[in-house]
Amino acid sequence: MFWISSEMKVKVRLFGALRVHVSDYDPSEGLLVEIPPGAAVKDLLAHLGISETRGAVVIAQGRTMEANDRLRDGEPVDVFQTIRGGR
Amino acid sequence: MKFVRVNMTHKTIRVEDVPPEYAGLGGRGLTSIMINREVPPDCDPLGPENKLIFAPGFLTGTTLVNTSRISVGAKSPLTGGIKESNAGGTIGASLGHLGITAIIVEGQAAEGDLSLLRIDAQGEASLIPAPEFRGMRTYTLVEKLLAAYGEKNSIMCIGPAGEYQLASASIQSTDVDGHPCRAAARGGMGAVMAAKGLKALVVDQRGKSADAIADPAAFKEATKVVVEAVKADHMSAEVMPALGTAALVAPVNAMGAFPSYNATRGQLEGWEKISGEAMAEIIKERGGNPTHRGCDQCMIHCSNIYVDKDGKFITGSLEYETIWATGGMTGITDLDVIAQLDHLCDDIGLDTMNTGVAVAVAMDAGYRKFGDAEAAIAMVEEIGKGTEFGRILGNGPAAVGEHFNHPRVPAVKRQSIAAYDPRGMLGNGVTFATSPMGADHTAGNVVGAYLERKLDPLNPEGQVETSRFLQIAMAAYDCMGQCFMASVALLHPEGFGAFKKLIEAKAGVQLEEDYFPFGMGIRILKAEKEFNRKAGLTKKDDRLPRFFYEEPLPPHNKVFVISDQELDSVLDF
Repeated sequence: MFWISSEMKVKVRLFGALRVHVSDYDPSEGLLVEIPPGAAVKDLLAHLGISETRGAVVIAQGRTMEANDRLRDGEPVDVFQTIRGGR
Repeated sequence: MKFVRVNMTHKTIRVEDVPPEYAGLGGRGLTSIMINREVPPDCDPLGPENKLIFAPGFLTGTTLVNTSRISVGAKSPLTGGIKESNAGGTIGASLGHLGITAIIVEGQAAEGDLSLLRIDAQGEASLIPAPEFRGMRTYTLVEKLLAAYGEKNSIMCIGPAGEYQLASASIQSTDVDGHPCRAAARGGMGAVMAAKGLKALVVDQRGKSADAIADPAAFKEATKVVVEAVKADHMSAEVMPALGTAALVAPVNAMGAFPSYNATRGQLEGWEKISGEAMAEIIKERGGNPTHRGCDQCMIHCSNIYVDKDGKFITGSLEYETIWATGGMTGITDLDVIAQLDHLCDDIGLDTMNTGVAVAVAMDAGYRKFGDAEAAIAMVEEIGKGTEFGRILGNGPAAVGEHFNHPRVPAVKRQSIAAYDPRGMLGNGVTFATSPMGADHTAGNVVGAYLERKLDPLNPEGQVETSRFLQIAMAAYDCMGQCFMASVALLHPEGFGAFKKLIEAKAGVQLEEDYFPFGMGIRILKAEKEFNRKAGLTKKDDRLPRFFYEEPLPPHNKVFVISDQELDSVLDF
């Protein structure tokens, strides 16, 4: 299966309560995640072990991404948890 | 279910059963419907005809969780229209436990006369002369009042900004630790309280005469639905306890809608330093408390205790909107400075949002430089001292804009916007423009729909409908005494159904199917719109300032594009 030699590298920063479950998470560095080329947002979340119930949302270039949106090699993405406005 | 009517002109107190026309109302529903019925719309907000109403929610004082909110209503000296300003802490529950549906402060004390209103554990209310507290800041005041009346008391009070009758003056409310760090901040309610001649409410927490529940079993059953919904919601169960509302800094900034440098940019340089994530780390490192219970009956714990490098208390619950107003808008990216500004505002009795934005407008006008922390602190201190410039600043961003003849004033109905730029989140612009309260972050905040990808923040489609739905739903929840965090976890048919049952179970009535939130929410909004219209506000007041339509906001470089006609349709019931 895994004959593709070059995995895609995506720089991921975690926010909200997501980072507490990643040991040694360095907020200034984020994570460098290697996933197969053509992977989508949902694949990244699965790779990170973030379940759907935690309201994860991926934002890149100022826009929220859909679950099936494909990630691009080298493009940094930020993973947040949805929030509904606060005082 | 009783009203405590306090006449400040004659220094009399009358307790009456809630009359039928106000039956089933609480919180914002009660304050708004009563103001529309009893306050002459053209009256001077700081005169004897205005009424200042303190109303816990309809379900406050019951066993339902997250219901210690109180609504404070009056005609606003800031907007010139109707105002409901909502605060947490403990006083809502204390009044609820006494079966007090509302305290209605009427008339006006003689000039120079200052009192406090004491309500003891039996619900006996009395006016007590309080000249010794004149000019006192809220932290010192609360310390003295709790020493005099005992720790088991809840306090709402004003600081010097209220006594100067400034349009940004808040009424501060004590949290579970007795700090006056919760606020009915918006709309100058502190100025109205001062104009009445009232410095503080001191309410005993040990009341045992809460309203009876008509059907306790049904009430309990519906409560379970609410508790489960709040527990199952990742926002209220996971994000809020970890980071509090400050969790919004990072995503809103990432979406390019974090109004920065007086709303000239949508992203802030150095935002990482003032994010919720950074704040939680700092608080943990220093031994503060990132997961604090600020309000009675709270199961969410979104509050925090921010401490200095020596672990000493600076402020209670540093919130998103405050961090934005005093940080993002001013370009200040030092959380210690922001915490200090928050403390100062609480101590002087000021709306942190209106004040932070007023400072930002002054900076934008060239009075001081963006990012100048010392200048920001000095400016807010001027409000506390009541200097000439301090009084301009304390009247909010519109007053500062007029002073400097500076047109970029991010306010609607003279009330500052909140931390969501209308050009980067169109629906929030719709709510800012059309809420009868003026620009407001709780009246119909659309940010959740964007993060949940239900709506594109930059596409006009669906913005009006979403704002309308949220304005109706939040108006209804604002009547219940329930906090915003829990309310937004219950914005679905199951949540609405549970609240309909809770109201029915408490009151022993049968409600129409769509009563909650639609019947109730629309009734309230109609009353508020009617009052505003009679008070002289027009469609022109339901607009954003021109620059939002004309100056593109980086990084998306968009302007606000919802038409006037669409805005007029939002609350056209």
